[in-house]
Amino acid sequence: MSEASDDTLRRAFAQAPLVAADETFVASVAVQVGVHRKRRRALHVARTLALVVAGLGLAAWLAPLAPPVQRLPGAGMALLDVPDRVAIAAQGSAGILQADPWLLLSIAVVVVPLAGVAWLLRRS
Amino acid sequence: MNRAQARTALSSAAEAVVVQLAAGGDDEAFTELVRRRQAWLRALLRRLGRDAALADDIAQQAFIAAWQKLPQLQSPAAFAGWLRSLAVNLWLQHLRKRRELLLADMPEGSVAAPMAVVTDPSVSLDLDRVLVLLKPAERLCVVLCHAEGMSHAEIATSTGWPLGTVKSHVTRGSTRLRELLGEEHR
Repeated sequence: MSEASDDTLRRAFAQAPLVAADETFVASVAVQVGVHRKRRRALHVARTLALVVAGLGLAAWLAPLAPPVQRLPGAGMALLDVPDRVAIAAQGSAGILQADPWLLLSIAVVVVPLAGVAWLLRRS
Repeated sequence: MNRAQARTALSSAAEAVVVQLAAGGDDEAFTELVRRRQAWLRALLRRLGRDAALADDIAQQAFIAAWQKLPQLQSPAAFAGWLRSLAVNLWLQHLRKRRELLLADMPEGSVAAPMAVVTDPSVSLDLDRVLVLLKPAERLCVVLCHAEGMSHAEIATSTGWPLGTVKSHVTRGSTRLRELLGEEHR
């Protein structure tokens, strides 16, 4: 294929006028963008709600499994030997969490969904 | 700054700036991009197909896809090429759905009348009349090569076809187009 004949085709394309600008088309795209934005927000809200419901459901499902004595940090502490209690008291809240993993789990079950909600809300 | 002033400021701003604003979630900036690029994109898609309404529909889908993916665009200066790639991909998806890419030749009866895009120049009218006689894949490659000035490698990247396939589509399509234009002028 010669370059001259390529030029002929390029010129033929270049001479063809553009489609006339159409404000109706612009408005139509703007409307579609609005619809997609609303759909995206609705999806985020639905995801957030699903996450919260799943978190609460998991917490409700796990709660009966926790041994009753250990569910209260104080009661759990009472089962420990004195040196352990002192060490845990010294460590403060971190020690309490170590002594009662169920409390840690409960907090995680609440904190993780809340963090998810916050993240989703920031994204939307 | 009121809405009218904002629109005026946007209309005189460089495209890269408008793209950055739109990527940041500015709806006015995105509308300005649509306003600037709509005629070009719709003309490109009308050349690829035989249906002006379908071309406008795909152009609209391309702009919506651009709005959704704009934050992922690395270089604002590459907006036009990126938008064209989105439109070409949507066009190819449409062809695949209708299995038009598999057609060896266009049936005689399927050749539609030229679209009412062109006002009067005879060359343009001839071009649009004969473009619809090319196979869809050849038409796509010829339009991207000669109308858009894309290299064979760029077309291969944009369409996902092998370079050799693109080259043969361009060569065959260009030869056929010249023949058809010659017949029209005879």
